[in-house]
Amino acid sequence: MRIELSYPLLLAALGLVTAVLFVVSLVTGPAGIAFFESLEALVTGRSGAASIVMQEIRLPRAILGAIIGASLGLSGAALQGYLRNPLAEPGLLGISASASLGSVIAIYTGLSAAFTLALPLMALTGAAGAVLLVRLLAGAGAQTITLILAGVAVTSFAGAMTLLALNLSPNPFAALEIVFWMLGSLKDRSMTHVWLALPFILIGWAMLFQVGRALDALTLGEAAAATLGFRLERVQALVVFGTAACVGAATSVAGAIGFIGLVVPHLLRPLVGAEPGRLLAASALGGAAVLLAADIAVRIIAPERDLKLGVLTALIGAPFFLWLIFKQQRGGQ
Amino acid sequence: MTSALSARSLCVRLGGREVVKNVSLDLRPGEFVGLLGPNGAGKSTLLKAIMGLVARSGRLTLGDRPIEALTPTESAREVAYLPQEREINWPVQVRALIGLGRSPHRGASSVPGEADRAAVDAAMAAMDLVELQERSSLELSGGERARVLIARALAQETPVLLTDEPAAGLDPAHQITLMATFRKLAREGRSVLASLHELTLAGQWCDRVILIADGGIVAEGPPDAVLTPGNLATVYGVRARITVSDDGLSVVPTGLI
Amino acid sequence: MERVTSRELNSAAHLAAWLIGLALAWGGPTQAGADARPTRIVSLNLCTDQLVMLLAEPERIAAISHLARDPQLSVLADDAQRLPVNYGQAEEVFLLKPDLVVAGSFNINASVDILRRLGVRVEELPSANSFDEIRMSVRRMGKLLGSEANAERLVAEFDARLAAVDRSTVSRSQLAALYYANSYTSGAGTLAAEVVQRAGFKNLGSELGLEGVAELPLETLVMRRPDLVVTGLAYQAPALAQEIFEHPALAYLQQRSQKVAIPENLWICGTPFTARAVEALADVGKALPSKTAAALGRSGATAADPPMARK
Repeated sequence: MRIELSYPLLLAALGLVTAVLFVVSLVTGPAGIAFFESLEALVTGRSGAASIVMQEIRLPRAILGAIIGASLGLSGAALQGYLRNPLAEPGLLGISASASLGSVIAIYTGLSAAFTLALPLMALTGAAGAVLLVRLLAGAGAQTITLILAGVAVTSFAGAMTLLALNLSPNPFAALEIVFWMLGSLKDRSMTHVWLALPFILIGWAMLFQVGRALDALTLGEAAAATLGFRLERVQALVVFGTAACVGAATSVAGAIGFIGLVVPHLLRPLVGAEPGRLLAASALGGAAVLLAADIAVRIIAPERDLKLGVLTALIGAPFFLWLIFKQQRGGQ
Repeated sequence: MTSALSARSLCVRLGGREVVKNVSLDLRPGEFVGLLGPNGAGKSTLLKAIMGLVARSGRLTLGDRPIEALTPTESAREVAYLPQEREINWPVQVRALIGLGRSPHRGASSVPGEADRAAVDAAMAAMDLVELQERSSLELSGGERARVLIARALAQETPVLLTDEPAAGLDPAHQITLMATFRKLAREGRSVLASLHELTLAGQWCDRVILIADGGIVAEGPPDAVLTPGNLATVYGVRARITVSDDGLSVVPTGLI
Repeated sequence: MERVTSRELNSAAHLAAWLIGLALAWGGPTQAGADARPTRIVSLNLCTDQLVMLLAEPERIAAISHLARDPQLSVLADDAQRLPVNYGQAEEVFLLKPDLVVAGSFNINASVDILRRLGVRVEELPSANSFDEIRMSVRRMGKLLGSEANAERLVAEFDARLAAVDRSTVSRSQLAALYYANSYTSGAGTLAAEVVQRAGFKNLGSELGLEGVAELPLETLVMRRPDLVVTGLAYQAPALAQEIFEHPALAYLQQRSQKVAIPENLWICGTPFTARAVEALADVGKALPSKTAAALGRSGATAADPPMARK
């Protein structure tokens, strides 16, 4: 495959798209504030209610859309590079579902009310457990079907336990909230959620961006990569904990959002010459753009209701996933 | 002269069985050594043991330093390894794939420097890959893939090169090119150890040959000293016609014992 | 044919009378008719529970729904502790041998259908969404239970309390927003809306053209800057639904508006207790400083906040 764009140009283009979508996200919402007024209200903070809407409702939603989307894209690319499998992603492998389970236990037992960091930490733990479990069950370089089945097992188990935890809550709203945890939403998130998730997300990014060169070397397989000077245990630790950190934190404030980690790296792979290292940054930007777009779409499609993000990502992602499987079957890769 | 690579009493146990039994060998600078032996003799395992890819006991030194004293990157600058499995996982451009051999030299930067480009060019020229450099790695024939992966190891520009069955699947012309490249590296002062099934290639190109059977060294020395009818019968279980010419030793198996 | 003796006739008459008596007794609850007051009343619905408890003596109540014991939902939660409860299952209800079952229209149709097929008398009362419907419900329940006098008394009390609400607040027309978990509000056609309006406020949900219980985006709530935000009482146990009440944007609003929590049990069901909600809101309304609210413009989106008296 020929590289059509130079890499810096690709990143710049993706960055521009993301920035534009970020601004569009900021000005989308039921309050009906005009474009320039809303930006003014955001920046100056002197427009009373409009500023509050911009700074406390729209801004955190846009920020979370960007950083969560980036986390999902980045971790999808990292997992695919590490497992050498183009069908790997946090949603399919049960990482997001496990993070939801950790979050639900933290919230509905009242733990996170007592100790705020309990929420992202427990989500992180759930996510890490899932990555390790999948790694254990599937081994590295395992057949696709084994990997996906491992993910199905983890997702089913985590989902059932989540619903159990919710049903045990005395609060009558709890059981219905399974929809949020399984499909995800950015509605009415506040800056509190941003500050809660951001440190862990940044830590996750710092870890994942370090494995780029190792992932490139893994193109040749584990043996060759090891002899090229890469410590594979360290790579594994960075991928596991990096994914757990950013996907865990993201899920703890927005629920499980699937398919972005699958679709984005796949679409961008031809544009980076299939090099896994380059795919990391590209997928981060691509993921941010896609999630921002999805979040804008849910507000336009169903303005007054809370259409979950997972509905949109699944509408596109699930058929895409099926198509990928067919392609793999035919290609016999 | 100190060995470029020296192994003492290497033992490997896999699944309760001793696969490599107390093997000691030396690779001196400037020699091209062939590692021969039947299937299952332990050639691949021995190479992996030297590279630290399987658990082993024994001592290993690179130059005058024990291998434990080196970081993985330092080791990677001293020894390059070409696995038997011709694994390529992504449709990366051929040039970029060969460029992976430069990883140990590039440090934290992922931007290739002058030396990197030169090394990749030289490797591509040696393996006759210049026309293929922009092709996707997954669109190559078996032989082309083999050459690309060898080129990666060449691009690593290490004093020692260990290769596992590099000639397999190559057509005669490219087999000869490969052997010529290894000899050239040896003449430059490097060491090359290649496990081979092609006895004639070993006979004509190797400075020294190590014959392995059942995890242990049966014979080692110049090809004509090792590739004797007796050894061929005992180790390979074949009768062969062995002819000596200006090019070297020619070994043609003619039948089973 | 022999002549029938008078003694034989007498026995026959006794036998007939006895048989008729048996038939009447065994005729089943559907034969009870409007004349007899039901003595084994089962209620399947929170709202009918409370009406039954208000209008019937405890001895006549066979069971009320378990929801009646939840203080968050039921005003008569304490009284409900002393009465037997049911969980709405056809089996358990049938075994109670009720002569009248009252249910809401939202009750699970399957259970109600089975009960009817088993010959149980089931009366459905729709939920009351307005004061008029409250009066109708109370009267209808009174008729069903044979407690018409009590029912009229309750309606009269209800009307008296409403009349007693200070009418002077009505002209002030301040804006109140009902705000529930998950960012919901009550729009036109709901009981909560009528309560708010009866207490002298305009209801934001109705102003926005919403009908029934509908989503009210937080943004819209903030931009409309209501004078009063009315919430329910939160559950102790945490849920995401309640996180909205901790949103910083709401905190901003609460610095500039009055906030009051009215127990939802006063208007989840349309009962005479709903009058208490009107009274509570009217009291809050009196406490709000009168401002030239109309001059500031209710739908103001871009005007900076004018200096206001802090509460």
